[in-house]
Amino acid sequence: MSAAPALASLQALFARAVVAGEDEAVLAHLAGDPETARRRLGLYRRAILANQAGALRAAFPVVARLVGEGFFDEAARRYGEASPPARADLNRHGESFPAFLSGYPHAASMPWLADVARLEWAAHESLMAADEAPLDFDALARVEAAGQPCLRFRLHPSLRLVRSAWPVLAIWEANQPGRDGTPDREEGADDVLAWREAGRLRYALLAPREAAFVEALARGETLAEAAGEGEPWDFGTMLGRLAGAGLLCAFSRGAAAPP
Amino acid sequence: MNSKRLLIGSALAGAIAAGLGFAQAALADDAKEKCYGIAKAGQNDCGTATHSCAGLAKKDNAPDEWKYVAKGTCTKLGGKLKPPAGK
Amino acid sequence: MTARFPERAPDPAKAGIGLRTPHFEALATTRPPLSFLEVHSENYFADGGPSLAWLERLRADYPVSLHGVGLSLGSADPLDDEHLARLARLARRIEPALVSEHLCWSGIGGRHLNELLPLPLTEEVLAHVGERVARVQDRLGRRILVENVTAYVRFSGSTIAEGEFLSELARRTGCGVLLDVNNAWINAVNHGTDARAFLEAIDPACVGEIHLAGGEATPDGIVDSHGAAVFPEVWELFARTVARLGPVPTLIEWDTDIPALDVLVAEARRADAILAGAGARREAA
Repeated sequence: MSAAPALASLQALFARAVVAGEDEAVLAHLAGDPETARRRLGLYRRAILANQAGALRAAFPVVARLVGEGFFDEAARRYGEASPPARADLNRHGESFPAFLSGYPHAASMPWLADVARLEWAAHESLMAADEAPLDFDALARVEAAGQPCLRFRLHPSLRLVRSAWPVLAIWEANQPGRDGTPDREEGADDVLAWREAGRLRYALLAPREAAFVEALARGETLAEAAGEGEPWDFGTMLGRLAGAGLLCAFSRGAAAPP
Repeated sequence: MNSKRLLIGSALAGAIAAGLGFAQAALADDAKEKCYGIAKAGQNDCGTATHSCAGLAKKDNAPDEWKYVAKGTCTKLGGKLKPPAGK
Repeated sequence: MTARFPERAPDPAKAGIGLRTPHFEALATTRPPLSFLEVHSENYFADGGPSLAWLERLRADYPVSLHGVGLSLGSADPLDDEHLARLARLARRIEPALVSEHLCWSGIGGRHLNELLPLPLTEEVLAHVGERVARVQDRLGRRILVENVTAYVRFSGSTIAEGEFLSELARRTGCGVLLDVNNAWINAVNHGTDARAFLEAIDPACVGEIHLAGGEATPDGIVDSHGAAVFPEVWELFARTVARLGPVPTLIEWDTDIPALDVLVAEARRADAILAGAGARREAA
């Protein structure tokens, strides 16, 4: 035990070497030729970066395509420094990557980039969300008219709404496999609903008040509250689409949101 | 208020019909809605990368310009994108 | 709890392959005879969705091995209880034939490094890893296998040879050993040691699975890339190993530059031929 430091401090030295490239301290504890060991630590260093960048590239393929390989890898490296993974599951590593991009100075000329990333993360989360059966519509049909305005719904765990001041859906579609990146339109403030249906990701462009309606339902507001105070409009179509896609999973009446 | 209550009633009736007919739902008919498909779902293989899962051997000594100037399909957007007013 | 899937052990005389998403569809439709399918556990930690649904669908046709890459058994940090809980949930859902992890560490000070990093092999570390393996087995209610990793560097403070370390870990905790013949060969080449001495130090009774994979030669040493066919030298070591152990469920790992399913199945067939010649399973004296 005299020369060898305890496991925690040895691992801390090792981590400094493979994260920050400060390898002198750990080299003293490695066997064999120091030059070889130094180069081998470099293998680990590059693998760690490549693993983290690879996980981000899998979650954000459109962002990666938009900015190109070198830019993306460097952004991934800096994101890894700013928000190092706390857990082993790299499927969750990119959660704050959109926020990172919105403050990344080299992306300042692409103000829509962070929103594209938000859309991609929404899709990523949607695909990993829990499965849940639709609510009992026969029971819903038995709710008397007086109770209907107070109904609250729980929406499907895979449902995500991304509201952007940019035509993010057009950008996203233009960067799917087989497309060359030219969007069909260059204007629009896209409100995009993403969800999973029969195991597949689906998405739809919503009108602003439809998006506000879904947002309100997701917050647990009643049907009457979600419909809004202004001029009557056809929120029934949106509600029907949610129901038809299996996205209404529970309902309750009165003050409390459904469990 | 009455008209709103009527709207809610008919909205629910529609939702119940749609919910009961879940399988024949109209969603797929909407041209705006597309199926992204399984490709995205298939990319989780590197979610827990190890040295078996990435380019260990690669070296990257790229110059800064390569790292900081976006050179992907963003050039197809041509800087013409403008957010609409009021949002 | 009632079982949802047929209770089937991997056929030790046949090889399995790593299940990777490009092959979901082809496996489900063609169902080639394979001993088992192995996944990286963490890739199925999701709450729901299509990947899990595919795994469940394929589990109806094949035994499944859950191979973890993130538990960080050798870290000085506390075991990640949430990680362990997700692994336990996945094991309940999939009813795997095998559950394995690595003799390594992956994070320290609350920061995960997403790599299989080497450990100094000492009495202190043996006690530490032994205690954690026992906790994992208690939590999962089953035996796990622990795999030897590729270690690009070694520690001068190590006092126990890797083969003895793994055998003693198995003796103390009741865990098994996942013997990665490719890692053993790469370590031997990279450090100028003898792979056969390592393999022969492993107690035959505790080996529950064998891994085979391809690697890549680089100026800094051979790298365990899992992106190519198995090296001829590794096939030879594998043949020697199964001649000593008898047939053991064997996996072809191929994780990068993933080839067509046929190519993977052909590698598995090659392993089958060697396993078939291995005779009966030998137990330790």
